[in-house]
Amino acid sequence: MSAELDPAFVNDPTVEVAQLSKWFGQKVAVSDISCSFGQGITGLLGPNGAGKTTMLRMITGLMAPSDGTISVLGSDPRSDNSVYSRMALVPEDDAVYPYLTAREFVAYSAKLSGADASKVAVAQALERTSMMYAADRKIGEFSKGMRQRAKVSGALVGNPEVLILDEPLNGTDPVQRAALISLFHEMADEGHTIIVSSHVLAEVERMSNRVIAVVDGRLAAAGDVAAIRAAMSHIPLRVRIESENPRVLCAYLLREGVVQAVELDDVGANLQTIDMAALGQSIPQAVVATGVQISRFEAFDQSLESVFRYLVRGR
Amino acid sequence: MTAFAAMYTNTLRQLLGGRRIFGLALISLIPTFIFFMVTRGSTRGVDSMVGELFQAPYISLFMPIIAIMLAGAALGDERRDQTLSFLVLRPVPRLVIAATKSLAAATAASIFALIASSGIAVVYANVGGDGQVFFPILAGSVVVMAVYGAVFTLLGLVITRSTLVGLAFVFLWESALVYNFAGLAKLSLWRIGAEMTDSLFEASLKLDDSAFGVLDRTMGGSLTRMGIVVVGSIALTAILLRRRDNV
Amino acid sequence: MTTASGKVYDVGYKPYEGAHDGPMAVVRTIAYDTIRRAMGIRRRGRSKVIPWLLVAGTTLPALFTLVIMFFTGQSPFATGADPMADNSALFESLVVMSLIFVAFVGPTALIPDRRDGVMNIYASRPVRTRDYLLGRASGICALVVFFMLVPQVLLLVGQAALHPDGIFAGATALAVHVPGLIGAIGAAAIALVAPVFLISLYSKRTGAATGMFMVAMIALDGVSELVREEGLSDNKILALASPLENFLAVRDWMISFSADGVVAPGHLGADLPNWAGGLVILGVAVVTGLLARRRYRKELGA
Repeated sequence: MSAELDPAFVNDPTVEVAQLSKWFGQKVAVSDISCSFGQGITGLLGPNGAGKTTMLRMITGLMAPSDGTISVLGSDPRSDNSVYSRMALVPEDDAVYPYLTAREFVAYSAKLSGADASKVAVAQALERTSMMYAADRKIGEFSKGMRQRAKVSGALVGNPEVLILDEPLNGTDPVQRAALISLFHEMADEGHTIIVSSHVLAEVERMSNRVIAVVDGRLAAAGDVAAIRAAMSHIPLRVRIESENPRVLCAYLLREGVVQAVELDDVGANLQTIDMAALGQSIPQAVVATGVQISRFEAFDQSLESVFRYLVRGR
Repeated sequence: MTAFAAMYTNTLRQLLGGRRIFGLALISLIPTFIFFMVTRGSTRGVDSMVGELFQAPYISLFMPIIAIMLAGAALGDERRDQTLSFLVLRPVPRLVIAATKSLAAATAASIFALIASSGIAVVYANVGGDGQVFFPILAGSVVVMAVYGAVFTLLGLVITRSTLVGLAFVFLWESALVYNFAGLAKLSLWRIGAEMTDSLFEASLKLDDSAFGVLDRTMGGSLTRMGIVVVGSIALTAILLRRRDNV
Repeated sequence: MTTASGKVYDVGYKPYEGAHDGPMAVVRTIAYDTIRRAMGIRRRGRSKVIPWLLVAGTTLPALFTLVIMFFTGQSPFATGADPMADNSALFESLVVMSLIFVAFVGPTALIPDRRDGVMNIYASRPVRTRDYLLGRASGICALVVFFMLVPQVLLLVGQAALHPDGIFAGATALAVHVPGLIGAIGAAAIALVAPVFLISLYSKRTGAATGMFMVAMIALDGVSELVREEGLSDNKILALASPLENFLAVRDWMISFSADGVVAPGHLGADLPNWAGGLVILGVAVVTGLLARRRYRKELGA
């Protein structure tokens, strides 16, 4: 029987990070992180100053690690330039040339990457981010969201196997965000490795099932969001139920030992449990046994935001 | 080759775009204006005047300043505008990036050298000069642009105020210290270009000895020293692009 | 029957009861920010190196002069020479350093705010265009005055100390010349700051502004010299082209220096009085101010 893989790692990784550390003088930005990324979308989460951008810069070879190793598609990007033809970064910074049009920028990106820089290829890249309508306008005139999409087009024109995006949804409106998320899903389905660093937790949740959470430079959690939450057994899950007689219902659940705390109000109760599965099994039994109907059952902190909050607060 | 050509043309566009080009064109015409004024009222021979003007301030001040402003921006602007990461995250060898940027800076600066040397040649011809000045002055200017272009592309990558450092270099090192200590002439950048010009000038146009210190004033010497400075600077730029954090 | 309704408009408001300092406080704040930014005060050590090295460098000619005076006994009080001769000459010794200093600090006054996109922050405060520009200009002028004052004060103190009757007697003897010296320094500050301010109005990069400023100063000085020294133009007004020569003319006018004991001829040539240089300096400053106001009205409104 094979040992279960640590959720920080994947089978058939394209990007591997081993004992990665980076310090700037006395300040440790990234501390001993080991994880890997594979096909599909992985969200890289963390509060401001957690070390996410530093980690992405090291993965792409922009920064040298102080310790540890990085492998992208089997090569060290710091010493092997050729890997850049198969990898692309969309940085958080405004890394665009304001005097170029979107079309010229994407063509320039293609030429530097050794990719197809034909008009058709450039147009296709712009089309994927819905930027064709502004293709011949100077990037300096673009809004922030348009610049983001221009950068994404520039990255996509080379059809990279590994696409790394640092806060790609910054400045985009809800329609643009939905379009970009849909694009990333498409690319993930095509077999690309996509790493997304973002503070917009709701969107990361929509984009990816797998997250790597970095807090204070350390690997705080990794894997599926729900599984991470379940792994936080020291932090009870909170559930809201509403019914005609919450007192009777909660008394039954307390006797069964599936809840640890109850807070009653007029229409319902807030429950705390460390075993959601057991609670889920007990609810129907409680309804039958007590005859009390339930009008609402909702788990509060299964979301990524809750997980994130617990991870950060726990430091 | 495609990457080189794309980077080269984009850098030329970056350096020559905007209002900067008008300012630099104006600067490159100032020596012509000065030469014109000098030749109008002076009774000295036009050949000696063109030599004096060429030495100071043309090749010792104006050409270096133009080169410093452009070369400092070649990688300096990329770093400041945060587009350096865009450039280095490409499968392009660092040496190619360094060489392309230096070459583009030297090319952009040489355009203004062409304007300046054309202006001087026109004035020279109009005031009765009968020697060949255009090509020697242009050749020397291009050498200066290549040398300063390479050195200050490197400095623009590592120093924020590379223009100011360049000006201090031109005024304090090149103009003050090297003039007073002849043995330091081999460490002077503009004298590499002046050597080239002097080797191509006819006898009546030869430059004053005092500026050259211990230099041979031969074309070979000029090209050799230019080669050493340019190759060394480009190599160092490539090494820094590889080793430094490019953010 | 009417239903009861209510609305909360404000909770916990407390009126500000502190001082309202007015526009001069804004000007002072911006001036101090200009000085801090240029000299690297409360910034990383690296940003202090160049400006403070330049300031330290200005002391060298003054120290050198004092050392020679001390060892040779050739102080002006001992030889009966004009005591302001060395102070006057110090301006010319420091021309290159002064140019480099102004080229360094001048563009930092205006360009970074536009480059970094923070003009909106000023526009969202009660900062008028004139307050902003006055603050920036006065900050840079104050710096240039400080830069030029340091070696002059050093020289004055050294000369006073070499007075045969002691330092206080020396100071008393030199005190009469101090207003002229300060006037000359003021003129120098305005003469150099106005052009760099003008160039900075239209430059996007500090490096480009630095280069343009230096080239402009060299070129204008060359034109002025060709007219004054070589007599190479019938157009004598061109002698007024150089801010450097103009402030040196004002220096002569204010300090009235002459090694022979007679009033020095006009620094700008026989036909032009020294105060004409001062007029040109003021004129350039006024034009710069008007152009700056026009340029920044778009950014800051009124």
